[in-house]
Amino acid sequence: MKRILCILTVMLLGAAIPQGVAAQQTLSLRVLSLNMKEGGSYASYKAQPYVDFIRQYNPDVVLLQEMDNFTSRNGNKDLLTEIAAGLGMFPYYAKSFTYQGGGFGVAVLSKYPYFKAGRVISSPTGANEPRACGWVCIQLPGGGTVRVGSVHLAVESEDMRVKNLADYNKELLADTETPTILAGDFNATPDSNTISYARINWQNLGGMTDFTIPSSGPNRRLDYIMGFPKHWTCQTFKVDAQPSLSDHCALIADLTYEAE
Amino acid sequence: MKTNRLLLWLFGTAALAAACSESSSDEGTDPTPDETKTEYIAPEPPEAVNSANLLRITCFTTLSDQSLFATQEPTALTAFINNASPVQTLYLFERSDFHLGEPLPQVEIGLATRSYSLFAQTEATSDAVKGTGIVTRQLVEAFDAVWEGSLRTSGCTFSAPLAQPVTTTVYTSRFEDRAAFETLVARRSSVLQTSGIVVGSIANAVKADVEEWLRWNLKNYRIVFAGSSSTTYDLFVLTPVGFVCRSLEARTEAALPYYSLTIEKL
Repeated sequence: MKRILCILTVMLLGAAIPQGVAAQQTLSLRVLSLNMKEGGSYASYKAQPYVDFIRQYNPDVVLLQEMDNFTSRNGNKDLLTEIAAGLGMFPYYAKSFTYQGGGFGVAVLSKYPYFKAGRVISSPTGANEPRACGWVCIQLPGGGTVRVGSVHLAVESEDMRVKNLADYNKELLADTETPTILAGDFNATPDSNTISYARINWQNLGGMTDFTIPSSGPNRRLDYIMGFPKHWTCQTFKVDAQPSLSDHCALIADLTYEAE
Repeated sequence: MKTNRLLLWLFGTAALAAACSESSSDEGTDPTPDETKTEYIAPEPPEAVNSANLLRITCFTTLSDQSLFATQEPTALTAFINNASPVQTLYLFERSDFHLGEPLPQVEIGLATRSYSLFAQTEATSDAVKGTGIVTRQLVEAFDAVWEGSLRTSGCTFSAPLAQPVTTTVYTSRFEDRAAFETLVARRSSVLQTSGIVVGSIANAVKADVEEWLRWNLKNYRIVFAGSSSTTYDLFVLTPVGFVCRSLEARTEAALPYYSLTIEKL
């Protein structure tokens, strides 16, 4: 009996684990990234304009930067949860630093529940303020697991931004198994040291030519969607300028991941 | 991925070899504790309660295989939560099942009560997902998880608002078998003995077995149960020995049953 059980266990493991790996081999994900500009100031900190904009794209995940949380300027409210409730998505807020009685940071919204989440704080010597990377792990309906992170790198200098990324890499890339998307405002142009450094480990998705700021007439690129490991394919990529929502354009991409 | 397959192959080969080399007698699962292990019995906590060091957790649950909000609106609890005195550290809603694209109970409650919301899913993601909603006013530092075998648990880490703030992680899950506890202890033994609290439900049929197994396989912990013979599951609170569950009272609000817990950091 014991022998049969052992053999059955091996057979079950043999059947179950490769299926999990197989499910992990091909993932599809629609990502939307947007810098909210001072916590949503362009839309007077109202949730509905963001809900309407995001809903038309029906993304799986939304990565937001410059997200206020209970600040005096946003009316002391949780704008992220308001947007999440409007969309039926799961919110995760990662505070970078205390601001106006509340928080200023980055955030993630996910159509699917996230089972794990965290934030990495980067505060290099000489930085004006700490910068958070907020990430969540999601199991997609097909069974594969993906991690998505929202970033807003330092504005001060290339050196500072590279240090931000190095701090995030140290934690995020420690897990080499989970396909990961990192998106947001890198505060760096495509020819910068920051982006060159990012591309050592991360795969830029969506090209380099589309400008993302200012939304009233984009003339340079500061926002990116990047993937790790470098097995991602960008099926579609769009930059959507919405001057009523932010000074940054939104990035929307359909991505697929296939393991080696 | 290749490493996983190699490990799987090696494991499979080793297991097969072990199976073939053993005698054919069917010994089944040995219930006798390993002689090299020692039984753990937690010391009695001090009688005096320090009210400045209490974590207050409210756990809504029917202790059955039902979603809480099948017949009741989540926002029926808004006033109850907003008027709670003393303020509760954390609310659990077992279960807050949902269908993709539909309103999420814990998000609705979070919005109405100025709280953060999380969700500990206990089944694979599909159009309909089962799990426990979590609502708290504490800023959640991290959301930890163990997904392995029959165990799917998630827990939020936050600075507990006590006399001396302590970083703690409150996990929740539904436990159907002992194997899930074995996995939890294997993966989070250190946290469970220092700062991790588990508030979950356990199938009545395995409760005694789990209690006995824990006694021989985990140290520095305390566990209490609540429930009745009429419920499919029991509620349990597992804390490190440095904490103690001081009260566990069954109540009802808006026709929804809940347990009011106070857990003291000693």
